[in-house]
Formats: sequence, structure tokens, C-alpha cells
Amino acid sequence: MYFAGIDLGSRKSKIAIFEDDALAKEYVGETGLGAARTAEMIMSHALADTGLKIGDFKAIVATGYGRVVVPFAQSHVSDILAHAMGAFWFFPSARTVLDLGGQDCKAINLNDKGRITGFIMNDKCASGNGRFLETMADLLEIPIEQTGEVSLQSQKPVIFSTICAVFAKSEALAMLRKGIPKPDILAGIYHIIAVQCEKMLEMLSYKEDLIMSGGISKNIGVVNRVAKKLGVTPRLPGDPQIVGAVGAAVVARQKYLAGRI
Amino acid sequence: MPIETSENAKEGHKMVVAGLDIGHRSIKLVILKDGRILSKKILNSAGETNLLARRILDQTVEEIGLQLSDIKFVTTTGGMGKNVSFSNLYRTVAHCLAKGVHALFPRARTIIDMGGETCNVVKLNEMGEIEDTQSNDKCAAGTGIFFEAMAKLLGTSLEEMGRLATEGEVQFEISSMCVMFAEQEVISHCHENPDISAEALSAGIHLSIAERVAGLAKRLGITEEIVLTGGVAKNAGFVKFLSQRIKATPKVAEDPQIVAAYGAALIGEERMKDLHR
Repeated sequence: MYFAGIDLGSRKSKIAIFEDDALAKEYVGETGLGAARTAEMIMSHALADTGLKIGDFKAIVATGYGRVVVPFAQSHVSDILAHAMGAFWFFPSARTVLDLGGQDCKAINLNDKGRITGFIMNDKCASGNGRFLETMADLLEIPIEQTGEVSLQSQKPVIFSTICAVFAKSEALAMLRKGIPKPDILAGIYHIIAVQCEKMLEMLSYKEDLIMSGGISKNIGVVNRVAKKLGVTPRLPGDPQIVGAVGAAVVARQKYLAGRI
Repeated sequence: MPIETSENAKEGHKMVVAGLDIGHRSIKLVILKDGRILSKKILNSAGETNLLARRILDQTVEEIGLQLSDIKFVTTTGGMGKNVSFSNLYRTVAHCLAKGVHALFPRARTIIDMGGETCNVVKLNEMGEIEDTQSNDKCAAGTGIFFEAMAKLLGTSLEEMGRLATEGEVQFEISSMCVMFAEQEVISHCHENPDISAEALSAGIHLSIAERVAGLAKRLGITEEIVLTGGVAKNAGFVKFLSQRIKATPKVAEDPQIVAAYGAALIGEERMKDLHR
């Protein structure tokens, strides 16, 4: 039996395909203009690749910003629930999920049954979000995928006087002009992100195992900084970006088996 | 503001003082002689502000035919005004604004100062003394840099965007606080409504920023007379929408950017008088 979860994020859209309770395939694509069109596009890509037909899925559940407009989904769930379910599916030892996405970041507490016991979210401020990292990568003229590795070369991370993404950008520009090495600037930026994460997690009184998800969690520089700042070793799924979609697929399967789809 | 002619300046300059407002984006200098402005300068600052401040002071002193030793007192203020080697006194922007505004507008009770990277609201009592202040220098939302980002997005100048805003009708408000998200939001509005005019876009942008600044001011409570200072006060669109939001017509200083520097210089002058007494 096939199930699918689709996560339409602000920057990327993801599909997770489950065969029974196993993750069979995963796809990540750009979120374009119009959530519905993006959903159709990424789904048709997934169908062409797997040779499945839309009718082969027993249930499809959507999540993310664009979740309500996905034409082929029977149901939708909040990002919070999807990430909680996804993280718990990957790691039953998960007690806190830190999801760092394109335009928001959130932390979710779980109990030993995988139920949500609390969450906190920042979607008001770009500091600590993917958009901030993209802007900085552009400014430093380093491809976003390489920024994490580059930051590891830092000998002496800079200290920014601000956490505001906009002010940090002008500060970084001034640092570049002064000839401060790019790895040191990047490490300073990741420190800002780590501080933001720590603030959020402390407000939530987080517990281990801490799972990191979202596109930013693919960045080794950020993960290292967060780990160092918190003094814990976060656990990461193979592809941290897919956690929301996996959670949605898990919900799809549960709902189908419970006869609610 | 009373301005001294350069001829007068040469006759005996016993009481010449300087006020330097060293901000994140620009340095403002006012040189006063007996309460009158001898010279005023605004310079964009990028890089070593300390050195730049010294250079602008040296140049200006030379231009008005004085020597550096004629400057009896230098007061600095502004985000980068601390630890300036040649400063005799550092005062906060709020103090300098209060001093400068009270001298220019004796009935002023609320100052709204909007600079490149900060927004300050200062409440004064009838004597021109500070009652309370609120400021934002942590977040770019509701500061001048917001306008810069938006002007860049619209491909126009700050002045032009301000003018367009006065002519446009508001069709949307930006709901995001963060400047970075606001940019996205404006782009989305353009996609959803490709025919939207530059006037309407500018109006929406200005209204949204005015809203944030009004929010900061309302936290303190707004008492008339209200005086706008800082570079953004020159923006007609901002003044229009801010007036709507605070339901009052603020006065705009003639040279809004140099008010803090002017106040700093006045503070220096007072110190000198105290010393002579």
C-alpha cells in the first residue's frame, strides 16, 4: 500500500512516498509561484520517476504553507504536527524537534508516545531562517551548499553586534571591506543562528534527544554551532528537509488505517 | 536655525563649539558660535567612523577659516559616538535631540527621530527635559533602512518613492514585521496584482512603516507638539502617513538630520559657560 506526504514550504516543496510503513522515495523541488501548481509539478515528477499513478496512493496528506490548496490531497495537517510525526518516525527517542526552515523556525517538544507537549515558533523575524542564510551566501558569493564546509575553516569567528538579518548584512559588508576572511564571517552568522535557536529552545525547556530538521540543518556549520552552543549532540535524519513530508505521509497512513480517509 | 555669516565668524571666536552625531550611516557635524550655526555638514559614513569624524571636523574648521584649537569643546553623540578620542563629552542621542529640539521648537513635547538604522521616540516635559524614551536599534523594521530596501526593490530613489507615496492610494498593508519578509510580501503583491501602480505600492510601503513607528510612539504616549527629526523626516510620504496614524500633524525640523548634532553642540556650549562662571 502506498501513501504520500507533501510538504509545500516557503522555499522548497517535498514529497515522501511510503510503501506501507517504510520510506520508499523522497523528492525535493523549488516552491514556485502558486502552491497548487508547485504541488502538481513535483507530484507529476514523482509519479513519472516511480511509475506510480495518483490512484495508487491510498491516502495523500499535505502540510506546509501551501497545504490547503494541494488539489490531490485528501487531508492536511499543520507543520507542527507533521514535523513532530516525522521526527518521531525517524527517531522514537526524539523529545525535541528543532526545525530550521526557509522562512520560519520552530521547536516542538514530544513525549515518549510522540505526542506534542509544547511548541514555539519564529516566523516574524528572518534572523535564524533560511532566507537570512541565502542573503549572506549571496553577499559572500559562496554557493549556499558550500557555506557550511567553508565556515569550518574559520580560525576566529567574528562577533556581530546585531541579530537583525538586515543589519547583519550591512555589518558583514563592512567586514568584507576590511578584509576579514569569509569563513570567519560565516561562522559569526552561524553563531547568530545558534543564539536564536538557544533562546527558542530554552523558552521551551527542551529535552534530548534533540532532532534537527529543515533545510538549514543540512548545513554542517550551523549544526556544529548549535551543538556547541547547547552542549548537546543533535540527531539528524538522512535528509533533514524531508521530515515534514515524512510526517504527513505517516499521518496519511494512520488516517487510512483508522478508516478516516 | 540662526546661521552666522562667515565674515562675522572671523571677529573673535571665543565660544566656538562642535557637536558631532556619529551614526551608523552618516556623520553629522554642527559648529556653533555663541548659539549660532557657523557650519553644518552631513557625510555618509562607511568604514572607520572615528577617522572620518576627525577628517570632517578638520576640513570644516579650515573651510570657515578657523583653527582646530579654536574649537573649545567637542560633544559627540550617536551610535558610534562613544570612544571618540578628541571628544570632550559624550551624550546620548535622546539627550542631544531633546536639547536641539527644545531650542528649535520650545513647545515640543514628543520627538520622533527616524534615522538610517534606529528609531527613537523622546518625550519631553514643558522645560524640555526628558520624561521617557523608547528606541529601536535591534531590528531594521521601522527604520530608514526599510525604505532603502523598498526603494531598491521598486527600482526608484528614496525621494521619488516618497513623492509617489503622497499621490498613491493604499491598496495593501505589509503584514510582515521583518524587512526581509516584507520584501517578499511586496513582490507577492506585484505578482497577484501586476497592474498595481508604483504610487499605490509606495503608499502601501509608507503606510506600513508609519504604522510601526506610530506603534513605538504610542507606547510612550504622544503629546503635542510633535517634532520629527532624522533623515526620514524629509520623506513627504512618511510624514503624510505618520500624521494619519498618530492623528496629529507633526512639525518637521528644517534640517532634520542635524538636530542631534545641533543639540550636542548646544550642550557643549552650556558646559563652556558653566566653566567660565
